[in-house]
Amino acid sequence: MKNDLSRRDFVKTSVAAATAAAVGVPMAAAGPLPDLEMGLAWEKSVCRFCGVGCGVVVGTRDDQVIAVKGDPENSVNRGLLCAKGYANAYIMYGADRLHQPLLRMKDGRFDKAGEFTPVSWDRAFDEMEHQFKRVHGELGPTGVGIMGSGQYTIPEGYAAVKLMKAGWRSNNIDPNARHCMASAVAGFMQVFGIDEPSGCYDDIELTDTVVTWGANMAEMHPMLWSRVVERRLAHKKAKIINLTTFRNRTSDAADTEIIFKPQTDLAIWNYIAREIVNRGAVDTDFVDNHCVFATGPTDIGYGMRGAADFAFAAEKDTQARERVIVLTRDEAIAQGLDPDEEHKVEQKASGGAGAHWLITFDEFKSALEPYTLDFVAELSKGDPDEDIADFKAKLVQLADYYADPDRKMVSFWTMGFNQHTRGTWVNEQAYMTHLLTGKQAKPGNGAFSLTGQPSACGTAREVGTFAHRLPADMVVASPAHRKLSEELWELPNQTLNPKVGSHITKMMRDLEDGSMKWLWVQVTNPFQSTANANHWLTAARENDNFIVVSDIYPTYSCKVADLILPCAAHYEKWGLYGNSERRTQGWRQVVSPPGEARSDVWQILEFSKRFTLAEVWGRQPVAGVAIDGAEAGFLPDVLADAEELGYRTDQSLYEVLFETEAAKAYAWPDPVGADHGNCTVEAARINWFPEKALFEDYRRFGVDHAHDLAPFDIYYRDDVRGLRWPVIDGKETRWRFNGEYDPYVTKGADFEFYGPALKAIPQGTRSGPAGGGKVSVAGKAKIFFRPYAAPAESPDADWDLWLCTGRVLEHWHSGSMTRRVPELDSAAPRAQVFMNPADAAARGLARNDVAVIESRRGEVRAVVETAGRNTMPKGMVYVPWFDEGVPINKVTLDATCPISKEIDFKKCAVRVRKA
Amino acid sequence: MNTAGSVSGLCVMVRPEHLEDVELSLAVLDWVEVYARDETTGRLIVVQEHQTIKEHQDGLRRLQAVPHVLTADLVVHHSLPVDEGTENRRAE
Repeated sequence: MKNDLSRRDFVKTSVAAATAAAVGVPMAAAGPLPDLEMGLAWEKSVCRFCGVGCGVVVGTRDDQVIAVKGDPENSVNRGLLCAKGYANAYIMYGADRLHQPLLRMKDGRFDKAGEFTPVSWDRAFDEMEHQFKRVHGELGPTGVGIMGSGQYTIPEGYAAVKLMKAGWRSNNIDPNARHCMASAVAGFMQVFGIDEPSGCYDDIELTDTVVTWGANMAEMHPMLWSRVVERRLAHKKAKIINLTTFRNRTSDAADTEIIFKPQTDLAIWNYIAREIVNRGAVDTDFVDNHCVFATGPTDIGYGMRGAADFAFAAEKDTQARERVIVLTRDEAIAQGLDPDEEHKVEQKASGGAGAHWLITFDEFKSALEPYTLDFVAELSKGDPDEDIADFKAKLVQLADYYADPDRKMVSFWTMGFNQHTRGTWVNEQAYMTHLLTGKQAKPGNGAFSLTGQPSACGTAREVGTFAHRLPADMVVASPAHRKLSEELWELPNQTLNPKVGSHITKMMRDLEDGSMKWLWVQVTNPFQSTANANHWLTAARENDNFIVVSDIYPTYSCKVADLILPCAAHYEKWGLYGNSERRTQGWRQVVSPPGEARSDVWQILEFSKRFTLAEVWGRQPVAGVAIDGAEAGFLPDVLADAEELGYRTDQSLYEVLFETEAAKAYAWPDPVGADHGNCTVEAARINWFPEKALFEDYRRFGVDHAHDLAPFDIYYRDDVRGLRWPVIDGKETRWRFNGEYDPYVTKGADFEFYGPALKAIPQGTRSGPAGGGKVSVAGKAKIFFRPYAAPAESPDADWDLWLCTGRVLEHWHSGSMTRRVPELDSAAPRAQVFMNPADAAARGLARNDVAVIESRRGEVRAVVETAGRNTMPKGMVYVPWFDEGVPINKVTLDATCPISKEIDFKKCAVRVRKA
Repeated sequence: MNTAGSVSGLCVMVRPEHLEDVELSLAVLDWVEVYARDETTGRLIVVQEHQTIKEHQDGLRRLQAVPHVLTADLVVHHSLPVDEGTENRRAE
């Protein structure tokens, strides 16, 4: 340090040196750093927000989080943080933080029309229990539900699943991850027979090409995007292509931007595949040895309710498409049909949309034949002002890259694919292209689904908080999976309910039609986040039901609740998350929750004390269920078997499911928690460690089933920043299915797609399965042919614009935390409607005018933005959904992918007028 | 905590051919200084001074809006305790 440097100059030089060192930029040494630690206690942790899973270091003093910084030891983000990550320090300290349970009351009693009134936890649970037992007595296990979250910690999600499926014998638990990841899950299961990516983030630094498909990574996954941009700048061969329906910030760093029309990604993939096949660019060794070809039905509907009973008058025409459609001319061509004939198609396969069968390579090749450059370019060009020749040149370049055997390719996608009425198909198509060219499961090569939520993978998917799942990729419909789960959970045979429960959108429909009357919402905000919300808001407030919302702030969903339970926030509790690349990371509680806020784990365990086995393990009605030896329409009484197992029928679910001898063996205090509190332990007044016990209980499901996690304590070691499963002998797995890296691949094999699900399928042709038995395709991945299909709803003369919805950089999901951080709120204070200036002018609108955005289902008002971060092509508007003042999901359509049941939030028809 | 403002270390990524243009653009902003550059990878190490988090976030957005800047990410954040600020004011 030079003597004439001021103290401030010295600090700045030191900060610069520390920055340069963190990101590997050469800089002359600046001498010893000043005390950048600020006298705080620092603890490694995990960001609360997106699925990237950045490591953070949390600084605390006097039981308060003072600062958060990027963790340079964490290879995910390497010390970098985005605007939201930096705000982790402030998300717990909003002025309206919930401190006490609130119950709607009038004259001292619960009243659905009453005012929210502070009550004790005992009073809250008393009413919750009373209402549960009333509904359970009337409707049985299907009358109750839990809406969970990809923001559950692993122990929280596991506790909720265990209570719901093993305790209450209901499968009506489904996460908001259904809105986010379900199409990715279905794609993985259909293609590989096992969930989650084959590759990892390391692919970024090893690839030559990043193609983003419906993923605005610059705003939605900024820290990964920094790695992509760094690779682009450091590696001469590297290229970035951004496929999107409108210009966004990701285009700024892209070499090529391809603006395509909504839903036509299906056609673009088939054009690429056709080129690969016709150019002889198929990696025949890889395909012959490791892949098979498959297809499935096309008359699968759009996941809408179908029945017109509950439809608003204006939406009946859209809803009718659930039953019968007339193929568009483009759809006819895409399916190899005569486009000059009318093709009226009943949607007969909507109940079995995921069925599929083997076809030959020749069938596959002929199915691709209609997807010529001319057809696909005309169909898919998304910017009316772009020259068709320029657009074609970009498609050719895209095909050139995928077909080039010497170019490594990574394809990233997020909600553009997943929130899609053919979301499973388009996920499968990404694998189709990568498998055809042998560019999958290899370093620097792979189709990679990015996650939206911090533990969509780790909790929602791996723990299995879905209506059809059990832990470690198992499903309730499988007798073998139920049997294994019953053994691990020490349940009587036939305790578990084999009938798939209601997915999150169906739960909303169940509330509307009265088939569900008790709902517990945990770590999510579904009345803001579910499409076609006017139906569900009305159902919540006007029907005979009881809705509980556990949250840290009074969200939009709290406003329609009957009971609000205050929760401990991220750093106020122990937890683990699993990110997009199969990396499980844990964090310790570093500060205490405020007032009477309690952890979600405590809430689940405490409420489970209010149910005896006799109340829930007797004979239970479940419409449509058929179990050997039991009366049709009922789950059998398992109480006698329970007594044989040594249980008493007056024991509580808490004793049987949670406070087991095995659980109590994980004592608190625990060395791993030295100098740290545990709000669950303190509130429950117990001497065991629930989060660790739950994690270890859950971990048994994945061991030796290709989902191996490390013991709890490993994730808390100072030298560990998460591990990517399967973790075998303490070593993580970076590339699955690849014999060089994955211990689950048979020794000596180069590749093996060993996922066990859906690996026995019939033979058939494009038109359907042939007779005969099923064929084993064990060890193989499936290359699917899927045709272009039009959306559930498209613009027409009355509703003349596309509406696309999504997020912005500054806000996480519904903004329940980020809108409480003044700096983020002031950066993006309100949701705007992004419009093309010509579209705005044609409606008499200019920038900053207030517009009404209206669909068949509802309307909202928003300020017009014709510039800014998104540039819309003519014919399309974009509205972010974070702002409860602009509840855009009153406008969106609740059509889903019929396989994954994930809503398409990206496409519906609207009109816009001046307010 | 009482502070006399903060200092943030940022990594700004730019296509190498635009490094010089971006450095010129940053030179006119009195609240940032470029401390290091990597011509091979197109990265600049920039230090930003700010009094409040809002100033920091606004600054980050303004940096991201500079032509040819591809990304600007926070790496190190340091709050200056009051005594450092006092010393600095004396130095000024």
